[in-house]
Amino acid sequence: MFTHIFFNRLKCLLRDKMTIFWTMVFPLLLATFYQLAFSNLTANEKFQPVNIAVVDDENWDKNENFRQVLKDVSTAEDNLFNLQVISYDEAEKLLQNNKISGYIIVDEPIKLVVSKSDINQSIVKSFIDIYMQNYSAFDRILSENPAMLKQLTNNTGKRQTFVYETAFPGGKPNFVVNYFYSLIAMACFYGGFLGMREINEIQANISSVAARVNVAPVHKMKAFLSSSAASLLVQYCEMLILLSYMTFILGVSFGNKFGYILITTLIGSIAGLSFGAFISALAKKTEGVKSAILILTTMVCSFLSGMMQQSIKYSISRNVPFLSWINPLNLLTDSFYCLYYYDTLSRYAINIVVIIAFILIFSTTTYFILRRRKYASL
Amino acid sequence: MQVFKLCIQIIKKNLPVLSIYVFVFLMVSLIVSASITKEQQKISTFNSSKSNIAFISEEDTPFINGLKDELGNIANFVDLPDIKEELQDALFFRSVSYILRIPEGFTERFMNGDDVTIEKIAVPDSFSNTYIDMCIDNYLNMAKLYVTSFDNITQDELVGYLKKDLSKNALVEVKTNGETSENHSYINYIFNYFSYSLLSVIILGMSTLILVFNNRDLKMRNGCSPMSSAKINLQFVLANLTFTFSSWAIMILLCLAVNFKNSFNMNIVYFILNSFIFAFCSASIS
Repeated sequence: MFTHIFFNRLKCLLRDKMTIFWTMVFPLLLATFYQLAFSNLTANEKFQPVNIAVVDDENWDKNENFRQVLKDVSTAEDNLFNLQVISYDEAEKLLQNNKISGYIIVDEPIKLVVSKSDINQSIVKSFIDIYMQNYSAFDRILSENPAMLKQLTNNTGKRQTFVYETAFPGGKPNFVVNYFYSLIAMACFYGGFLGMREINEIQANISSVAARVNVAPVHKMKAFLSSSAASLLVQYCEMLILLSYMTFILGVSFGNKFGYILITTLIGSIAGLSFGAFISALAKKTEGVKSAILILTTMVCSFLSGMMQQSIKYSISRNVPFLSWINPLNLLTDSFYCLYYYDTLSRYAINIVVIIAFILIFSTTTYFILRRRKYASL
Repeated sequence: MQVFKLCIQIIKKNLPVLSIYVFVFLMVSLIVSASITKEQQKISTFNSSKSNIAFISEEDTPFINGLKDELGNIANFVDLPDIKEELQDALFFRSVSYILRIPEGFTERFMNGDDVTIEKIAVPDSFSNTYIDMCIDNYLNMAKLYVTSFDNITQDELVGYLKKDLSKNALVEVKTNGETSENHSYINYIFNYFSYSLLSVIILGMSTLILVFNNRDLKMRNGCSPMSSAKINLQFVLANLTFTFSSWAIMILLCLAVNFKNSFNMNIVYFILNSFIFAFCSASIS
C-alpha cells in the first residue's frame, strides 16, 4: 500500500505545474537573475591602477627625485598609477571628462587637483604625502646627523615591506555567495507548498481528495507518511537541480564539502516540508490564506537571512543574535556559509542541530493537530 | 469586454497574495529609509576615504599607539573580539576590509633593528588593501630610518619626529564643476529591491491568469463562444498590460511616498523610466 500511494502521489505532484513552478522554476529564475545582477558586485572593490596626470612644466622637469619616484610606481609590474605627462589645459580637460582621477602640479608644496573625494583620489594624495613626509624626514636626519648622507642616498628608493598577507583557512571572503545560499534556503522553504498540500489532502474537511483518502482502508498516518515521502523526493530532486544549476552553470562556489552540502540540502528540504505542513495544520483558513502566510513568513525570514541585503544577516547576528537562532532560513543559510567559509564544523553542527529541533517541533505539532480527527459530517 | 473583466476579477481574487510582495517591499523600504541617513553636501573640501579596519595589538607601546593614531586618518577602527570566527565573519560581510595584528614584542625587536613583520588579513587585491599597506609601510619605513640614523633613540622621541613629518600633506584643490555629491545609496537600494518585488508580483499575477486561461475545459468553452479568438487574445493581452502598468504605478507611488522627504532629481526620473521598461520586460518574462 505504501508504494501504491507513494507512486500515485508522485504522479499527482509532477502534474501540478503551479507547485513545480514555485518550488523549482522560480528559484532557478531567481538564481539566474542573481547571477546577472551580482556577478560584478565585488568588481568595484578590486584595485585597478589609478589614472592620473602630471602637468608638464618647468618644475616637473627640475624635480628629478619626484619625477623618478612617480615614474617608478607607474611603470612597475604592479603599478600604482597610469601616468600621463601632459599640459595644464589637457589635464583640466581630462579631469572634467572624468578620464583621470586627478592631476598633479609640481610646486612648493606639491599640489593635487581632483574633482571629488574618493578612494582613487585618496591613494594619489597618500602617495604625494608619503613623498613629502619622507623628504621631511631626510631633511631632519641630515640636519642632525650629516654623516648619514651617503647611507640615505644609497637607501633612497629601497623601501621595505613590513606587512605580509595571510588568509583565513577555508573559502575566500566573497559575500556574493551568501545571496545564493539564502536563495537555496528560500527554495527549501518554498517546498512548504508541498507540505501544505499534503495536509490539505489528508484533512477530510478541507478537500474532497482528503475525504476520499479518509474513507480508504488505510491508516491515516501511513497514507500521510507515504505521500509526504513522495513530496520529499520531489522537493529534494528539485533542490538538487537548483544546486547543480548554481554549481555547474552559474559557477557559485560551495566549498569542497560536497557530502555535507547534500545532507544540508536534504535537511533543509525536510524542514521546508514540515514547515508548510505546520502552517497548514495550524491555520484553519482557505488555501489562499495559508499560501499567503507561508510566502509572507518565508519572505521575512529570507530578508533577515540576507537574501536582499547580505549585511542584514551580519547585523542581526551581531546585534540581535536571538533572532538569528529562531529563524530557520538563517540557520540553513548559515550552514551553507559555514561549509564554504570555515575550516571547522562546530558552528555548522550547531546550526544543523537547531534546524532538526525545528523539524521536530513542526512535525510533532502537526501530528498532534491531525491525529484522531473524526468528522461527524462533511 | 468579458475577457478583460474576467481577468480583472481573477486578479482581484488573488489580491491578498499579490499584496504580500507589495507589503514586504514597503516594509523593507521603510526599514532602509529609517536606517540610512542621507548625506547631501556640496563638495568643497577634500576628505580622505576611510576604510573599516580591525586593529589588534598584542602590546601597548607609544610606538604602536603612534601607528594607530596615524592610521586613524585613513581608517575607521571597528572593535571586534579577537576570536577567529568573529574576525572571519566581519571580513566576509565587509564590516571590516582589513585586519591588522601587531605581535607581542614587535616594538622591542623593531627598536633593536631586527627584521620584523606584521600580519594582515584583508579582502584580496582590494583598494583598501593597497591604501592601508601604503600608510603602514610608510610609517614603519620612516621609523626605521630614524632608528638606523640615531643611536639610542627612545620611542617617545621617535613618535615625536614621526608625528611632525607625517603632518606634511599635499595641497589638494577640489574643482567641483558645480556638481553636488549626493548619496544615492538609499534610492539605489530601494529601486534595486523594487525590481525584485515587481518581478514577483507580475509573475504571480500573470501566471495565475495564464493558468486559468490554459485550463482545458475553459479553453474549449471559449473556443465555441461567439467571440473571435483574436478578440479574446486582444482583451487578454490588454488585461495583462493593464495589470502590469497598475502594479508598476502602485509600487512607484509607494516608492515615492517613502522617498518624499528627499529631493526629486533627474536620477529618480531615470530610475522610474528604467523601472517602467523593466515592468514590461517582466511582463514578457512572465
